[in-house]
Amino acid sequence: MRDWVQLDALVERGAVELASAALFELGATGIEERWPEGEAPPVRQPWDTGPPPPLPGRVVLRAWFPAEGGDPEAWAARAGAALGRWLRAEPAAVLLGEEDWASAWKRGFRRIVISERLAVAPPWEALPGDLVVEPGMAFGTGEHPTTLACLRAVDRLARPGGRCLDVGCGTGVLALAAAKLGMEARGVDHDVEAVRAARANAERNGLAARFDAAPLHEIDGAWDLVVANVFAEVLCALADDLVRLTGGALVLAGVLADRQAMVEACFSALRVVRRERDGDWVALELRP
Amino acid sequence: MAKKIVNQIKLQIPAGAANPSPPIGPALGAAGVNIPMFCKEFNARTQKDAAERLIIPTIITVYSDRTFSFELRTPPASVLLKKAVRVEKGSGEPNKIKIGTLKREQVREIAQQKMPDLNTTDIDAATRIIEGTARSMGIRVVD
Repeated sequence: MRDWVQLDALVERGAVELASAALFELGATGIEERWPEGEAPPVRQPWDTGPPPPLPGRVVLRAWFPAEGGDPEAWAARAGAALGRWLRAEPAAVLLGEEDWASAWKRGFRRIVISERLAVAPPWEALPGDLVVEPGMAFGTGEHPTTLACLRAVDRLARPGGRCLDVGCGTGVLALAAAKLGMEARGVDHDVEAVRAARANAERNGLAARFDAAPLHEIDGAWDLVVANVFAEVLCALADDLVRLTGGALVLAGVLADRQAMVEACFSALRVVRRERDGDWVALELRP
Repeated sequence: MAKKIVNQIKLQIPAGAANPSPPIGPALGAAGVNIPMFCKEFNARTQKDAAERLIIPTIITVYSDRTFSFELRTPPASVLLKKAVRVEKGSGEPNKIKIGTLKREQVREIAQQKMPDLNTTDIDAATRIIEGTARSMGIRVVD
């Protein structure tokens, strides 16, 4: 097994580029830029407004060097000499053994049972009959409270032969759950990456659901079940179309509790028949 | 989908050469990101710069269900400048030891390439930023 030297160098933020170049010249295979412990600014969410938080003035450059039996102290000294003028602390290096990183990331993903007839799982955890969703570049593995709430709603409301529209479909997990329960399902997402992932998941599961990037105003008809798991602000922006398309039930999720009143006001043309809260998140079921 | 962001990981990695070894394996593995999928997508999107193994700053956004997205930035100015003067290393003593000379027009071309990631839309200001990087690497800029 190969050994690796992991080296942390604390530098001024303005010196990241030149200090990184010096580390690559020493033979780094790559660098991770990290905030110093305890200095990371809060993560900015897509729905956050206002100016972004100020960034710390210092950055830790974590560089990795392939080193057969390498001496970490020698690497730290070498980096110290190369980075001298940019350093804000002596570099620290440790020797680490190779791990099976290619599969270690799978730890922690689990099979999610919604009901006796519906369970969602990643490929390596799936049992026969499960809806298999590969965690990747589209949201929706079933783990997040908003996806879970929608899966429970689909399980409760799906009627064989009915039609389901999944708005902002991500991995397609909701449309595919509806298809698995006998509905004719369609998922739309403006993110082409999501449409691609959803189609791959449909194929993986042998389900005939349709996925595309059509804008809502181009979709017609009254759908028996419409599911929209997006943000409160997006739901309100889409309210007219979502109301128009709802023939049976409309399930709205992705609503933070402090935005529930706003969303209910945007959808006052329908009546709320069910409210479900999980942590900070609220899911609503509405009917004409 | 209601995507809540839990983490953003910033990596500098060579184009077309992503694999599960460090830094990608440890950085993304700890966040539960699908490493083979990231590597495949990254290598496909950076294929045009793979022959020169240009360093690509990459920001990976990890969502609450461990799905992810990523965006690529332009290669660092230092990498583009070294490529332009055809040297492997910057100068350890930029005030005394010069590693090469570039015409201002060449620096302007690099500034143009870097514009999407610089904090300005003014090409003259961008050129001055890149000139500053060039000087601190020991590259002389002439008219």
